[in-house]
Amino acid sequence: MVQVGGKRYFPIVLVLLLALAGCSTDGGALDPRGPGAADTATHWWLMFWLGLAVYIVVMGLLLYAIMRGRRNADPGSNPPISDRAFFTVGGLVIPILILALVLGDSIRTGQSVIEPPEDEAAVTIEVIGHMFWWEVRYPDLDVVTANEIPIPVGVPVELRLSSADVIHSFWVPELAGKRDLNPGKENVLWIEADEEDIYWGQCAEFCGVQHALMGKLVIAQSEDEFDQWIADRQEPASEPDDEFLRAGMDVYFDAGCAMCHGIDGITEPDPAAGAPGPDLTHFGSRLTIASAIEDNNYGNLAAWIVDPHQLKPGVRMPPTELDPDDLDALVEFLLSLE
Amino acid sequence: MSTPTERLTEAWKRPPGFVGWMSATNHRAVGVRYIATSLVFFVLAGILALLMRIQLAQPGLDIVPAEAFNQFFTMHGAVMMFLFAIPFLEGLGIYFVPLMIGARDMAFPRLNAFGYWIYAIGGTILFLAFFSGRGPDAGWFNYPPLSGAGYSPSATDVSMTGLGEFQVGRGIDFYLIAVTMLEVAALVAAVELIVTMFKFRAPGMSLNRMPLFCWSSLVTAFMIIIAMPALMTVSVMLELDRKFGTTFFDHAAGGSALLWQHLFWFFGHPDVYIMLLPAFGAVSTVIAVAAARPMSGYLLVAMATVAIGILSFGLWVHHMYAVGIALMGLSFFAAASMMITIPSGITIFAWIATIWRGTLKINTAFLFCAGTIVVFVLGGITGVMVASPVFDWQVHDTYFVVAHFHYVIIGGVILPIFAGLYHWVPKITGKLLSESLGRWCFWLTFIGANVTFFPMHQLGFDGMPRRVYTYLPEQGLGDLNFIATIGAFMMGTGALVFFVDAARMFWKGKPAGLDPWDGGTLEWAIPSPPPDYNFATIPVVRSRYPLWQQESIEPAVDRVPEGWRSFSDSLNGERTTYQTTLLEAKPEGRAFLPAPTLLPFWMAVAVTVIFAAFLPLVGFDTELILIPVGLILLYICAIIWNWPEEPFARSEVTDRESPGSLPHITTGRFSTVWWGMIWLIVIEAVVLGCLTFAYFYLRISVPSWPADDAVLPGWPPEGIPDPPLMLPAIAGGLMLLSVLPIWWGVRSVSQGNRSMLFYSLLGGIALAIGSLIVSAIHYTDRPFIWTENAYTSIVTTRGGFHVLHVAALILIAVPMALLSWRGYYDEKRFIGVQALSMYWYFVVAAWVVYFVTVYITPNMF
Amino acid sequence: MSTRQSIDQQTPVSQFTIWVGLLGAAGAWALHLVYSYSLVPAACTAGMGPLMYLGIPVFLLLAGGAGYLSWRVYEASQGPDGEPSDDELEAMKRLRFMALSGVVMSAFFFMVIIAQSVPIIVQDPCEAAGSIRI
Repeated sequence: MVQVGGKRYFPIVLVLLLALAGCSTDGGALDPRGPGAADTATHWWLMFWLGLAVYIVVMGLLLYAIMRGRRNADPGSNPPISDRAFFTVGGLVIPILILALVLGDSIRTGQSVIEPPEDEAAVTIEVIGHMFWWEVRYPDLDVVTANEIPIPVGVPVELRLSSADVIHSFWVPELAGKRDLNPGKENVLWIEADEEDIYWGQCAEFCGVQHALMGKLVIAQSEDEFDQWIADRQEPASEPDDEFLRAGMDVYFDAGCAMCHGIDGITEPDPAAGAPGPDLTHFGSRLTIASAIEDNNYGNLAAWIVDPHQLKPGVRMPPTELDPDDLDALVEFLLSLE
Repeated sequence: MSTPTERLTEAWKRPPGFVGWMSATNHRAVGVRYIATSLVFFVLAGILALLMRIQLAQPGLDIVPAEAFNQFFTMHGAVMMFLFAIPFLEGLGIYFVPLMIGARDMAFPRLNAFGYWIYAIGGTILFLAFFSGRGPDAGWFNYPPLSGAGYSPSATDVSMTGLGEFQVGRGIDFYLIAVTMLEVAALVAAVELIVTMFKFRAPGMSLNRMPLFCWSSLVTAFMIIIAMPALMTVSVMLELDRKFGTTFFDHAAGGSALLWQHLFWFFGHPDVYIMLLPAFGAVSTVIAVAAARPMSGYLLVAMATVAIGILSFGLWVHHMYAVGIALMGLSFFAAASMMITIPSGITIFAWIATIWRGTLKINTAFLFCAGTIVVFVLGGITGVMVASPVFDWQVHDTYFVVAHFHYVIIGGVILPIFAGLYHWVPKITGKLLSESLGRWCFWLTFIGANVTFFPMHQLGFDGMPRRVYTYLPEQGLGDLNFIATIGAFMMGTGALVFFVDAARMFWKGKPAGLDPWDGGTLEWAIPSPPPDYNFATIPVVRSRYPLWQQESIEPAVDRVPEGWRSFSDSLNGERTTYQTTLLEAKPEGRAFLPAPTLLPFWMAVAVTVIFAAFLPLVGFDTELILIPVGLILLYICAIIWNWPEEPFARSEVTDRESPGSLPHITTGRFSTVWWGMIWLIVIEAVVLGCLTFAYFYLRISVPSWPADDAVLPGWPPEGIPDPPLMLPAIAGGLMLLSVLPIWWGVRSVSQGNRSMLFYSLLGGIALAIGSLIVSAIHYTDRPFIWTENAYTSIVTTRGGFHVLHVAALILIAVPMALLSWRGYYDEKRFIGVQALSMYWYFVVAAWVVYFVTVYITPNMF
Repeated sequence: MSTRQSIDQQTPVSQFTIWVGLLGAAGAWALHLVYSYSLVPAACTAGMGPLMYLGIPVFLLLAGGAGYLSWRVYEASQGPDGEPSDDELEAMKRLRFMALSGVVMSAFFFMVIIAQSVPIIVQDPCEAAGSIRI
């Protein structure tokens, strides 16, 4: 039974292992697009092949032992090597060698991943975790945004991570390993993207009801695009001239949006309202809403404003009852903030 | 005149009726209850897992809402760990360890029953909370600040939430209290197991002959004693934060959320091995039986067990790689984490070598053991990978880790538990489980586990974090999740087959007979199910597998040295078993065990009443009344519990002895009570150590508070003067002084001076009360309240720990003084005051630590 | 108890030696871990790195010492001269078990201390994955 079962099962393990080795090309930690993730993936492949070899050897031994044990007529027939040699070589010498290799490579890789670059950081970004969204600040450049983190491609970027409430964790698998956002303690994480692209990441430390959909995007752009983006964002918004949009702005104040959401040049959030929401200064130019969960378009935004809990139960933004006209004006006003 | 067997039956019979059932203290009754109750919880937690897998089968499903899902995964983890795996394995130990070592019961049968009741009540509380919508939802790891009052307000205190209609976090209090109760149960069982294995092994069963299952139970019990108090301490600290507003974990007031993580994982990592090791012991037992030969490398396996047990306490930071700790610090733990594979590997090689050299009979139990090796080795290999900090930064808190630890736990705990069930259930019920259904159970569970968890490795790489109730279609995670869900239902079916098989067994299972597997250890020498006294004749053991390696396990009286004779009788209808020495298992006397009683149940009720004060049931003040009520109930129970049954009927203990037999030992070093006291003190010492660690951790780890540029924070913080030395020194000096009369009293009574004991106890009590009064003056005189900041919180809690202990000493000493006044204690019977004195010395030593920590060090630097 | 003491007298080494030999190296490892881990911040900011280096030989010596004790017990367990009685043989076997266990445990924890020393030698205590020191 076991012989048959063992034979039947063992190739499945192999196939699965090889499948694991093979199907790692479409995104994720094994499809690295930055030096941190790349070093880590190299380290993983070393451990993977060593681990696979160990697993095959141990399973082979088990299978052989079972076949032999079943054939043994008289107890105490001797295996090819003594127990002592078996334990010493298999249980001690070989593991020590493998572990030494793994530990050494781990330390080396770890050092290279966290080592800050020689030069000053091209950009320093503060990422502050909130339940359940990411506040993003460029302190030297005087830019504030949320959930989408543009960075220049090909240069190391320093992220200064902290939290406004509970513990969150910053993770963009294609760029680097994760780091926690602790309240009261600032962590530093260096990321660098090799290619211009949009990289998905989400909160990796359980932070409450909406932990699952606390997403973010890292948008790697060329230096020129990035500089342009910064320059655009440094402009404060101004009150709209268009009558319809002005009506939208009035709804923004009357419906209470302004309590939590600031728009630079128009208003700042009221600290007394408790936890602030994402800054909306250049909201119209964002790709996504609801912490990178949905595309930023008219329909999604309107639905989100009316009842955020439909999409994301537990977020702190309350549902808002609005006349269709008011909603229309509000959405148009928000989308106009480019 | 009745025969010896009739007298044994009479002495050990269980009382009839429901009350009799409630009052059972026999280790097999308690063990079966643990096993059965934990299996119920296993089913419940398994159903939660299936519901979660349904929700995750495809992206964006809305079958289990987010709030419920968060409760589900919290409950699944906590229940599988605290309510299923640990109690099951402890129950297995409670049932089989005495049978394997040739004892008639455990060292403290009533405590055993008490542990079970606490476990059952604690588990019930947790599930009642869950079914009433107040399940905990901050994860089994329960990290503050999420689990603090600010983000998880108690149900009775809704005003604190900023979450509007979304009421979350209401179950945290239930969780903390239930877990603390479960830990009390685990600790009780651990002390029980250790003392039983130390003192009740059959004559001749020296440590080097103890069955490997006992070795692993022994190591596990030690680990529980060191690990569990850490979680208890930190749970109480969090509950104080939540209930009374202390600030241990509130960074804004100088606390540290990382303090929780350190103390939690100092418990949490060993906890994994607390589940693994006894399961490994079961595998070692089953494989040896299946291969019909003794385990290869017995010494190496025993020492691997010990080494794993010790080393597991130095790995905890590997759960904290991503929090931002200095890399060198992480590397220490990486090194230790990788080294633990060596003893684990040796254990596996020993299994393989045993199979290799034996004559293998493949039955269901063995299949589960082979499955253990296949699954666990894979989990071990990924374990080495996640021990590497840099790799862990990628996969930490992702489905890769979910896959890793489910491979470890299914391979290392669940499959061995099934192996153990198929191997040992016939001994418990006297009937055989079905081999054919067993094979279905095995293949479904085994294949199901791999189908469920293997794809999760890839899911982790693909960016799926743990503890998410849903994911987006764009993430491309749907297919693998669907496969995992199919696998989960295969596993569920496998478990179902087992329960069908178990039901079938009661209905028409074949009788098991004495020894259906040709086992080698003592439990197979007695009928299935065993009689209430286990062994009519306690055997003399001369080998590791007495049934294989000894011609007869019945001692030939003339071949046994004097004093080694097994006794087969129950004199005066008493419950007795051998008491032997620790290393050599030389008989040193007979232990007399108490009769069944309802007291353990009432004791558990009393403890529950105290804990209930912390549950959000009615209102803040109302609940607090429960504390004194429970304490009074507890005190009454404790006095009845310890009151001598017939204190004055037999002033001379030697009356109990028949000529030529072993003495009745109740007193002195290395007696059962002495050992029990030692382990209680060790448990308390760990609590003390955790509090001391918390004190210094809070002091040195928060340099940014209150001033950003301070190298060391102000400690005490600005506005609070350095602690005064005078009053605390006087209070402590009185305690130091009180050691003298206590020591003198025990010395006097051991020399037969009964009246001196009475006056000594009075002196000790007077000094302790004096110390309490001085302490009270000091505490009321302090210029701060305890909820002000982390400093005031830890200093006050530390002081409270001290005061409570002094008060406990007084409460224990008063009834003892009463007894000694009536002349109960004499030179043959003074273990009560001896235990009190041990505890007394500990409390005074703890005061020294307290004084140095809280009063000396702030004045020094 | 008198029985127990008589057993003690049969064995040529004290219980204390046996237990220190068995668990001493594990204790040395635990101390090394706590010592090194808690020195990381000071090694970075206050130049206490040499103290960490100093710890390596000290704790290795402690672990090695425990192993040596166990080895001594093992040698003693080779038995008394002449014809040992059955009881004496039993005692010797038990002693040899404890002694060998001590040797194995000491060797293992010696290796763990070596593994934990690697970071001290090859890493800089200031290398930070974040701002948290311990």
